[in-house]
Amino acid sequence: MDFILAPLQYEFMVKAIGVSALVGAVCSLLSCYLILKGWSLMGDAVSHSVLPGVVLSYSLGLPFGVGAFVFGLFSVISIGYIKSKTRIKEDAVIGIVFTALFALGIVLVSKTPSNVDLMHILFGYVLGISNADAIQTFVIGLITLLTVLVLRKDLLLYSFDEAHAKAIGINTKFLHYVLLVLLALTVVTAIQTVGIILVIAMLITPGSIAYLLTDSFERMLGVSVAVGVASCVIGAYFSYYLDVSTGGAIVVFQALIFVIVMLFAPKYGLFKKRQAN
Amino acid sequence: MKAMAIEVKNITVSYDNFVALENATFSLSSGSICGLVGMNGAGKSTLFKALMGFIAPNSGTVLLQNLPVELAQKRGIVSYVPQSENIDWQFPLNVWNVVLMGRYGKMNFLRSPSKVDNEMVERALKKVQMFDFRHKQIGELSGGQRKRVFIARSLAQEASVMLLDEPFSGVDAKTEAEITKLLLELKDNGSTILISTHELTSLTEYCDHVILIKKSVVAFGKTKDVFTPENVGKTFDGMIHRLAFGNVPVDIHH
Repeated sequence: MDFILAPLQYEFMVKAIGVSALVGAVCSLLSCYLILKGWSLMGDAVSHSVLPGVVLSYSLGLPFGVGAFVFGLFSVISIGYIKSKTRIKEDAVIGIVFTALFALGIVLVSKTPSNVDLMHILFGYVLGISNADAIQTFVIGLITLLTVLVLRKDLLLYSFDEAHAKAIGINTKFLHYVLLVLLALTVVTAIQTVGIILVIAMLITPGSIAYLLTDSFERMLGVSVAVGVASCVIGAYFSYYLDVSTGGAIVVFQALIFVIVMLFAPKYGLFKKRQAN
Repeated sequence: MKAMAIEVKNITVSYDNFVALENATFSLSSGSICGLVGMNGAGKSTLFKALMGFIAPNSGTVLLQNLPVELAQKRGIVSYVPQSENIDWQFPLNVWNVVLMGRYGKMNFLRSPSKVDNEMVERALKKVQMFDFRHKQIGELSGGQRKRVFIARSLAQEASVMLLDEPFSGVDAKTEAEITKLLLELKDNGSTILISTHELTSLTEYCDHVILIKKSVVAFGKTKDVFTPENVGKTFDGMIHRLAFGNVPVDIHH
């Protein structure tokens, strides 16, 4: 019991655990849509592309989320544009765009040496999160969470059968952009916790774990969120006791759950399949 | 005069500089099954897209139950039964929830099903004899059952115009017979059904009308009038009319 309560005496730990839990929920909710729609790479692209935005925000004294959001959206819009106007295939376009923006961010960091800690942006630093950043994360996280919850059935239909959605007069273009905006917002919320490199794990792993465990989408959302929140909270504890990177601990823990589920899931686990054959 | 369920007048659709469909005209009344026959790239899917409002024709008009496509969409008049290859059968959805999607257009913005919605889904599933499978994940179904689920979705949608995209590709003869029987029943209840197909051998058994298409409409009319070796030959560049009329069940692509 003391093991659980001791860290909560520190305000920074309460803050870190709260923010981590919310980030876990937001990322894992969205991850269900991304893996079903085949947008995992898009998550990778957006997360890397926000780097120049974060750096510019810090040097201009803006909330980091503003720049991150702008560059996140810029990346998906450029990917869509380049793909439609050239003969280059989508995966190559994604690779070009996000590495270019990421590299731009690295260049900008080296030109603004003062208050930007590259390691914190890349790998997160939730134990040292400022009040302002915690509030910012909370507000954006809640907006994202509520939007997904309200639109969850439309987004599900859009992911499953876009043609039917269009045929019954649902605005699929709108849903497409909503999903992209949600992705950008989610990355913004996760920057402080796991950083822009590891956020991709948060956007893929919880949904994949849940997908191996259930055939019902509603349950998949629930399982994914449970995994996301649990791994974020447990990761935060681990990093407190072992004095290791919080983001790293969260993602390693999630990967462990994934391996266990992949092996032992009742219906889709590897062992199950071998027995059945 | 009876109102037309589908009325297509002189539509032309082009992408960039490529004309996919030129000056196509046909119309179908309620209670009809029409085969849409042509080679790949002949404009079948373009015509479907125009009917569903995915693309706006460069010229000409499309009316569904006397309404422009956009209004018809909003009222759920058109339904689409996709080709099996275009569906991810591993998707975590059961039969009930797929059919319930047919009702989304009639629900509030949260898409919470009302009592009527649930009743319509139940009725649709019973009609296609899939009610007992309602809790099954869609990937666990056979080819024919999968088709029936999507037809049930159209029924739940209460769509009066149904578009089926290659419903018989990769389906065995028994399943094909089952599905055509179901479609004939729907036709008798007043549905207008447009089926794009390569399967010419059995087409005469269930299609009362045929559209032969090759960039433009080669021939349109009652099956017995226009489904002639000559017209089919024109549609397929003379490649297969011997097969289609020799009673040999051969898929034209092999």
